[in-house]
Amino acid sequence: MIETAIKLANITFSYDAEEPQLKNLSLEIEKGECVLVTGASGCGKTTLTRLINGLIPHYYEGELTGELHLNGKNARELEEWEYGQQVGSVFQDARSQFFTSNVLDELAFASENYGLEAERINQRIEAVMKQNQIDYLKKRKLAQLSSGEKQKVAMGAVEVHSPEIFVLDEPSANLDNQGNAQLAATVKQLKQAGKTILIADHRIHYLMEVVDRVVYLAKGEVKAQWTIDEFRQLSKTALHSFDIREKQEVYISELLREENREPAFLALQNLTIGYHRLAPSLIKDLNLTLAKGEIVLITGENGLGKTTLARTLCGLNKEQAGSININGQMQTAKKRREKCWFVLQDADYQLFSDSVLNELLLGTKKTEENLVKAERLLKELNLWKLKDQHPATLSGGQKQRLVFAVGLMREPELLILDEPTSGLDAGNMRRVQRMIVDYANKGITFVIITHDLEFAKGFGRRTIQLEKAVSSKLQPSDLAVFK
Amino acid sequence: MKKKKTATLISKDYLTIGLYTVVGFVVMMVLSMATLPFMVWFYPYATAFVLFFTCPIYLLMAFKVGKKGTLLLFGAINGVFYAIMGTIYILPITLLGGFIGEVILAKTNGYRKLGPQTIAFTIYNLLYGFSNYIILAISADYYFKMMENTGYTDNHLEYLTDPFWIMISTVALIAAICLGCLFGYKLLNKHFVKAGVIKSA
Amino acid sequence: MKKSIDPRIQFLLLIVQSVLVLCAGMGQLILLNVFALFYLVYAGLYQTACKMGAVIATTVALYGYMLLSDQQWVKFLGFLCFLVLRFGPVIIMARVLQEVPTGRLMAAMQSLRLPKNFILTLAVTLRFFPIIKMENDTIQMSARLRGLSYSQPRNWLRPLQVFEYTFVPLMMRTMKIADELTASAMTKGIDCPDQRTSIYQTRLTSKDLILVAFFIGYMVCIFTFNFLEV
Repeated sequence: MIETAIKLANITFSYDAEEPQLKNLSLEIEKGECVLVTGASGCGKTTLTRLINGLIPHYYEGELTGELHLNGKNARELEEWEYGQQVGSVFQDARSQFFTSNVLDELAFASENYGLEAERINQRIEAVMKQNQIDYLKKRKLAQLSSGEKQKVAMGAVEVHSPEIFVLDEPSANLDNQGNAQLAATVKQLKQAGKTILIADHRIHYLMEVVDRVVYLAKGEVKAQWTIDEFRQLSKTALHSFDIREKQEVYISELLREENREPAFLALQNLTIGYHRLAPSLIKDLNLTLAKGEIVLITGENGLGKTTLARTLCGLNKEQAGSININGQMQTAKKRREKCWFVLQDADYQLFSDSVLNELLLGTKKTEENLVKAERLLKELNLWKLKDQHPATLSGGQKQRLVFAVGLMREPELLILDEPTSGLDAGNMRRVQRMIVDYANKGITFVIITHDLEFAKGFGRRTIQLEKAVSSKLQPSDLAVFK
Repeated sequence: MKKKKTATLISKDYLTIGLYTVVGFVVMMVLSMATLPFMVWFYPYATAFVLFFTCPIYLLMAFKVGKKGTLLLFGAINGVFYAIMGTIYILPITLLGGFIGEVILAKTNGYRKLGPQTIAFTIYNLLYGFSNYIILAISADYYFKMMENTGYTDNHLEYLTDPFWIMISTVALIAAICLGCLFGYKLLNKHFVKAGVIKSA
Repeated sequence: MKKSIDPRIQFLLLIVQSVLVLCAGMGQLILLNVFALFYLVYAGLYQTACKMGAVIATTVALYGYMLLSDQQWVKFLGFLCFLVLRFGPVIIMARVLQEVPTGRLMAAMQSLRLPKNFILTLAVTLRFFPIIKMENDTIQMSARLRGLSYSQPRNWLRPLQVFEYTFVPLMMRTMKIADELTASAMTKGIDCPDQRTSIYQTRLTSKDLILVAFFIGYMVCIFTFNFLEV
């Protein structure tokens, strides 16, 4: 009997009238194998996953040639809904994977679609919950879960109707280190159960103990493949040349270090913040000083108040107690809004106009001076060629730079970035690092929220870890500022 | 292999319509609340004002899906929301409005054309906006009748039942929808067509 | 284990209530609200019952005050009280309906033989409401920083532009979410032509029937005998 679970032979695919995403690609994955597919952005990883779970050609249209066999069966003979019985998919964003309001229904959803009897579904749910240790989530609503728990439920939901093949597309994108570890454990379990697993991701360190093979794609072709042992032997420089991220997990302890004190530009004194005036405080009595042009990285688990801190610094939230001073003077929320800028993880929330150039000029007077400034900024950030295009047509990295540029138009003194590198490959990550360092040298102070420790390491600057600072959490402790 | 494009609604379309309808509903509710304080003087125009802003949302949805059944489903979902909120009698009205609109769209094959969509949506809203108007009028009427027993009269009652004002209201409604659709169309071209997410209008 | 009322019964009661409030006099309205409070307690939403109880009590008290007073503006207050009491029962029952898990709701709709796609759409849209709020909040965050938000009064002079600045990113996000959701649905077999099953049973329990009987009895009583002459 054929043991090949997935077989791609000479697959070429392009989305409607565009460059081919996959060129003459051939790949075989055996039953029970766990394969990591990685590569630079745009290399075709996601396209590959879509081929396997049927989204191509049934959802995304384009020109497809070549043969795909799943568990021995030719994919051309499969109806769109039949894919789901053999291939289970988990995507990055839990928000757009959930159809119901609570854990139990979500776990049952796919099986119900396929017409399984209720009793069987219930049995499967019990088994999966026990296996993944999510019993305690049984009665919960999805909205109350952390991102790690959501991802677990998403995986569980696929496991309940137990397909043979699992496809995960950048599952670690929204997870912190703890979430990654949990994810790796779940994948390991699946492997032990004999499932075939394909993971497409940039972050790879959390999978080093789990995958059997690493496949490297570039421009739609398989450029290299290694068994996990071979991969472990690869040197750092080799990885660099492939634009692959680090194999080693970066530990927070490596980043916390001493810094020389320079005159303070931004000073937080006894700052206490929360969602709004009357809400329970998330962070209490924070004391922190930043110098002009300094880059500070803030990390910590999701839900501790990093985003609220960012919003408060920016002036979008009023502080509950304490003060925020710039150059010795206390700043009200309104003043802070004028001096700060905030770049979100997803640039779609921050673009309002119909062309790149207009985006920069939005909200400002259309004077000669501003036009010149806009042109200069666009050229610096490599966006001038795109000046008439609609922002929605830009790639993720371009959008991010655009939001950056919009901020720079306002000549802010403080720039806050929220997870600027989630989903970026190594090359783009380094580009972002350079950009930040450039502007820091010009005098802008940066506060960067990230749980991408590899990224943080690349700066060699001060990192702060937020510990659980509120009594409503399990372990009470203060804000840990490691020097 | 290329998949055939069907002319009937598929699950992708259902979800799209559903989500957009929700956004439209929320916008409508929020704006209605915002205009509530002005209701006393503003009443004939209030509904028109609110509906103006739901036009771009509807138009975007209609152009994106571009198939028969969009308006009907839109009406059905809205109707169900109203039913859940306690005004079940709106459901048959939205269904009727949606149905008539669909007939118009089918006859002119105008799923992606501004003109037919405007007409269809206008009719839908005339039926719907009107009913809203009437219902509030009925309940206010009832209350004030009750109040007459306790000696309180109100000249605002005239606003609600005088045929002259009803006519003004209707005209305002039609104008608002037409202008709203035009506004929506401009926005569509400026942003969504340019960004390539909608096939040209 | 909370007693959960069958969603179809809930919906039925909701509809009947909404018609009844139209024909109810003031006294009957108050009693309808009392029923709604009892309903809340029965459904296990004790906290909400307390809150709503307080609201209704205040409203009734205000109404009583209004009856005694002679001032014009107090009469207007009476109208507001009337509105609260009129919408009260329905809002309360809708709130109870909100607690129904999506799967149960879908199972109930399936038993009513509604088309599968329509059921799914409804379930997803109900789930989508809080998401819209979050998305909009995030958008407004950036809008405020740039001075483009509708929450800033100086922008009220340019309503069309302000609308554009909220509308465009919100629609782009909605589109993205819709796309991702439908893709995900496809991988979960949404197009499977087989009959959809559910982990919930859709039998009407005796508890449900008792509730309906009580409801009917209660309504008949308050409408035939005018308990409260208000």
